[in-house]
Amino acid sequence: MNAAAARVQEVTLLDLLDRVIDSGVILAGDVTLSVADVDLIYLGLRVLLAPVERLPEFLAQSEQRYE
Amino acid sequence: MTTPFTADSALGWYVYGVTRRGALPPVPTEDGLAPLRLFEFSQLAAIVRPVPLEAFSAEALRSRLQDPADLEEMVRSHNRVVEAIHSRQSILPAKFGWVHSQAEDVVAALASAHDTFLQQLHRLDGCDEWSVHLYADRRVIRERLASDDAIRRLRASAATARPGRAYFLEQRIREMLDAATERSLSDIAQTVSDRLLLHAVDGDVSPIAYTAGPDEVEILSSSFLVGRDRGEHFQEAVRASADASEGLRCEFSGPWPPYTFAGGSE
Repeated sequence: MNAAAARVQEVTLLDLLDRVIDSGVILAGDVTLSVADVDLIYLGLRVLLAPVERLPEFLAQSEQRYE
Repeated sequence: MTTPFTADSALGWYVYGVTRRGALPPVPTEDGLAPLRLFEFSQLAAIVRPVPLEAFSAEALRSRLQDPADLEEMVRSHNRVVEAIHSRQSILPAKFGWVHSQAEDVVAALASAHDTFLQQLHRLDGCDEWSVHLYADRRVIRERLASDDAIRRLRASAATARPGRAYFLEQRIREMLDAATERSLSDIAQTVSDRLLLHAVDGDVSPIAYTAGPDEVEILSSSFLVGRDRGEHFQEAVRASADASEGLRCEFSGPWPPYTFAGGSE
């Protein structure tokens, strides 16, 4: 796989994560998984995949959420 | 196929989304997972899968999701179901990873938001979501602005001015160029998102400016809700917007199920 194709896959994965985890309708009720758990893991993964230059942005986001 | 169920394991309900009541389109089965079920209320149905609660307890998930590869696979698996349904009928994708312990809660949630959900489904009929990122090369934009008449006049004055005044003028030119570059970047982002909106039903646009490379800056990160019959036009418009001027580059992906627009227009 060349670099451009790898980059496309990476963008698509980030776009997928942003959509599946960060949006969607919520059905209220007794749920087992706390949203904070998923968000935390998501941000962790986002940081792993993000270009180095964006790290400060995601870290700031993660701080904002858990203030 | 392995089954995660034992006779005494309590079941929870993993929710994929909400759709109109009726037969589900075929969804690929997944090894080790029970078939999908529908919880119905009036004109709506929630698409759910019975899962062993113990595998979805907060502690179990926390340890499972430590591994990014596991989270990625869970997200992909969620998306496969949503995508299969989205390809045939409207779906409001549910927020990822929600497992209800009570079936009644899911039905009650459908009941309490019934009319809103129906309206949202209607709005999403025949639409896909597209993701668009636009990047600009700051250096190229700045060089283009540097050929502006006012800047060139100042440059000419600076070239013949006495050293003290020349220094002052050079500084002034730098400041003007800095400000003009930032303005230009946000104008470009605005123009592109306006142009793309012409081909879309709705857009969720965040004008941003973060550094993506030595000279490159991402100036637009956006989602668009686009009619399926307009998909080709939309993709052409995205490509055209990046080709329209030197120093621009776009990345886009889709068609996605309308995750970003499931919550209605805000």
